[in-house]
Amino acid sequence: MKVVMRPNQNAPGNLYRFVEPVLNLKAAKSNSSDPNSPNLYDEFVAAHLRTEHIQPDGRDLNDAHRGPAFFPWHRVFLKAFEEWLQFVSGNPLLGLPYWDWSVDQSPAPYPQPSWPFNSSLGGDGSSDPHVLGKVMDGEFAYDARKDGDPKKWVLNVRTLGEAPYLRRRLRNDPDAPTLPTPADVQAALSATPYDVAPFDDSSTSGFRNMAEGWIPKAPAPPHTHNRVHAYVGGSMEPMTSPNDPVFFLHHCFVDKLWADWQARHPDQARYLPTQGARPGHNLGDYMPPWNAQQKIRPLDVLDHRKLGYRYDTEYYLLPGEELYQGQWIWSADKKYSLLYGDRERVLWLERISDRATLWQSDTTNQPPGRLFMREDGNLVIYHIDVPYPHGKGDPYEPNPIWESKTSGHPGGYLVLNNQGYLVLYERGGASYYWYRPS
Amino acid sequence: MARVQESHKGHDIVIEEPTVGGERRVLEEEAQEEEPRLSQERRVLEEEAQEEEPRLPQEFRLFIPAVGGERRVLEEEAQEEEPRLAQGPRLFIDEQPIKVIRNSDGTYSSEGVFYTSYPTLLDLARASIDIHLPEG
Repeated sequence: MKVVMRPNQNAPGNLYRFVEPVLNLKAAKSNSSDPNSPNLYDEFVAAHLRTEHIQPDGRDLNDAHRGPAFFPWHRVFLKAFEEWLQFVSGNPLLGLPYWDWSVDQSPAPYPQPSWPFNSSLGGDGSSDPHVLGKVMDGEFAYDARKDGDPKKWVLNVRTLGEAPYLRRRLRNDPDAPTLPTPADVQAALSATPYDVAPFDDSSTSGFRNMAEGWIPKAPAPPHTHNRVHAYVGGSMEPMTSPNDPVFFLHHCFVDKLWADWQARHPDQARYLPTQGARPGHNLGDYMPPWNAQQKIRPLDVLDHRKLGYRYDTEYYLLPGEELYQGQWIWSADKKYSLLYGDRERVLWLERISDRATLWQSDTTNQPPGRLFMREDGNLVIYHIDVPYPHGKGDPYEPNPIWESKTSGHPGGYLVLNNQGYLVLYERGGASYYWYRPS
Repeated sequence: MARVQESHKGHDIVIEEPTVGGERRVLEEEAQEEEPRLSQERRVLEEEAQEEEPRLPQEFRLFIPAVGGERRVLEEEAQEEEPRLAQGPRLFIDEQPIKVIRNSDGTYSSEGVFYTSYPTLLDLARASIDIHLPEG
């Protein structure tokens, strides 16, 4: 299956590839035959706002926050958004970039700060009291485009009193003058189980409530996910927070945290509870707004790889997964990479520090292809037009571009390890059956 | 109904909070009586869920634009219950009503300051002014 790679937004070009299709979503009507229909981007903002259900007594029976469905709900939300970006950009391999906010305030040894507030996404808002927090630069500044330009960044979905322009007030919230630290992330990733009763914002332990940011409770300041919203401030503070495109970079990293937590705790249930949470938050409950037609449950989205995407820190290719030209895998420590070149059409195993080639597939000047980890354990570069059987076994081609010739190892999978070796492991990982360089 | 009025950085805060009495206790008891019915329904769903394999949607892209046309089942259920629920607190800043959220742990947030919780309504009101409004 096609696996889209979600990259760190700080790598060259990733933010640019994100911004342009976002502007195109703002310019696209959700119903092409109705000129008065909302634009596609605003549909996402409205869907997020609609998760709120404040009862007359003040309780919010929220579909997406303050409960276990926080992670799966946002996973579906981001996946839908990503597929729209792919559609409007014409790039089916476009992956949402993530903002690893934990590195942005840390001393060494974190050499790659991930600060997204640049000339493209725009920076901090104005301190002018008449337009407090108004973002004045970048593609999403209100004044960057004239009235009537369909890409003009107008906030059409607003809570009471919100301005029609994008606002940011970085570090202004006295409860969140700094971003969460790597230690905060590690504390959340160490927490088990996934969630605990009463499965809401008062849960005193568990990964979900730690990562969402309600532990410890007020008057302690917000933590982890919540803290980033408060730190950015302005349009990121209300329920309409997807009005700021940085919302998607932020939540992409939050989704990665759930994937990382699952990888760290293979002995833990990936989601809890099966019962006992409010409706919409149990494993088998349908999650509004996808409860009426699409019928999506947390159960359906536990494994992100099965949804067709991976994060750039994941150093393996599983049976049935593909690597397209221009995509790569990093070793866990990011010292080595396996790139399927989009011009040379060669698999390159490279040491990143000095660009030394450790191995290559010797397939120069071959026609376009894609690398496929077959379910029988053979690693193959097929010609691009060989049909994919959509979960019904491996593709068939008598003369592929390249192959490891290792069939007979069902369930085998590819790993790029921290020693710079490309290794095919048997199912379960107990032993290997192929490696390069040999 | 208890009423608090205060000024913060040139902005007016008004809090109206219902006094908790017998009425709310009765409502809470009624809510507790309903629990077994909900739990039973959930158990059936969960047993079904556990028997099923996860279903993998082929295309998520179609999800969002369809949202506007859907009726939300849970919301309809909640609306049926509304008349029996106690009245929550009300907050006004410069005469504008603020959508207050009473969190499960007894703290407060709002639609406008959604990701932070505050021990009291007054703390929430002051923070809303600090975060969103220029000095009045």
